[in-house]
Order: sequence, then structure tokens, then C-alpha cells
Amino acid sequence: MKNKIKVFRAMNDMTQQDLAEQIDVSRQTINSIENNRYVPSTVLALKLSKVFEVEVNELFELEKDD
Amino acid sequence: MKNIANCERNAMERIFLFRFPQSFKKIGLISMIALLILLFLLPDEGTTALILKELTKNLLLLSLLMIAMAREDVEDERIASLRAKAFQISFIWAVLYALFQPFANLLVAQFIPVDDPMNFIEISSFQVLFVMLLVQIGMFQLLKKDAA
Repeated sequence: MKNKIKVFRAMNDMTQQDLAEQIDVSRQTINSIENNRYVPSTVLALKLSKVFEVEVNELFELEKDD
Repeated sequence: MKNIANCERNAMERIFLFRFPQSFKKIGLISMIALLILLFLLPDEGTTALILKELTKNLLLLSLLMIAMAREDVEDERIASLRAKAFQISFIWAVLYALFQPFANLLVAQFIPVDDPMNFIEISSFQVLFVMLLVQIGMFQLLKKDAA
């Protein structure tokens, strides 16, 4: 699964730490999500979409092998 | 009936979410080192020494459990997932250890002189649990480092 967290974070001028604090996770978790090493839960995905004020589908995209 | 099922589900959820305070990691590590040293220093003969040795082993397992179940700086869903993976790997490792270690011991017993080679194939619950907790702690650290 691909995601555009890094892009939206840059657009909102946020650091990984800023975003992590807003959704109550560690900075490492944000880094793992951005680098596709960890797929977040639905709750976390919804929290991210709320922070960036976009639909979840805009943040995450399924790949062919998903 | 539905209430009983709900109670059981809630109890299981509480167990699943249980973590020791973060400070327990340091306490567990210090006591583990001290107990390991004590275990090597205790003699193998005498009832008191043997009882002390058994007690030390139990405390050693408790120290490892404290490390394994200590809360992280930020205890989020990724950490919970990594911890679960580490427990899964350690469980499989412990089963394989219990299955194959006696035969490995028996093989070793062929090359070194021992009174009764059959004594070599017995492994204790302490050994299995020690290996399991050690693998869990190691794997959790490794997965954390890898995923960061």
C-alpha cells in the first residue's frame, strides 16, 4: 500500500514529530508508515485524514499486489 | 450468556493491554545480571544451595518477564504489533528448542565422557522459558531497530 503522508506533511509544513504528537504515536511510527514499513490501523488512518483534512483514500492507495 | 462472553472478552483485553511501568525495564535488567552472576556462584551441592538456585532461576524468569512486558516511551499500535510479532517468533523458537535441543545434547554427549547420556536429553521448563523470553526481548529490540 502506497501513501502520501510525506507529501501532505510537507504541504502542511509539519515535522514527523509534530504529526506524531497530534495523533499520539511515536516519531518512529510516522517514519515507518511513510517508508511503507508499517501499515496503520483504520483508527490511525482516520486520525491522519482528520489532521490533513482529506479523505483516507487520498492519503492511502492500494497497490496491485495488495 | 452474552454477558459472560463480554466479561471474558474484557478480561482478555485487559491482559492483552497489560504492561509494566517503563522503569521495570531497568530494574529487570539489573536484577537479571545480578541473578545470573548469583546462579553461577551458587554451589551445586547441598539442599539449601539447591533451593536457592531454584529460587534464583524463578527470579531470573521474573526479571526477564519484567523486561519483556515493560512499557515503551510511546506505547502505540506499531509497538504493540512488533511486541506481538516478537512473542510469536519466541513461541515458535521455544517449541523448536524443546523439540530439538535434547537430541543436540545427546549428540554432544557422544563426544564427551558423561555418566549417563540420558540425563543429557532432559531439558527443564526453566531452560525453555529462559530461551523463550530471551528470544522475545532480542527479537523485539531487533524489530524496533529495523522498523524505525
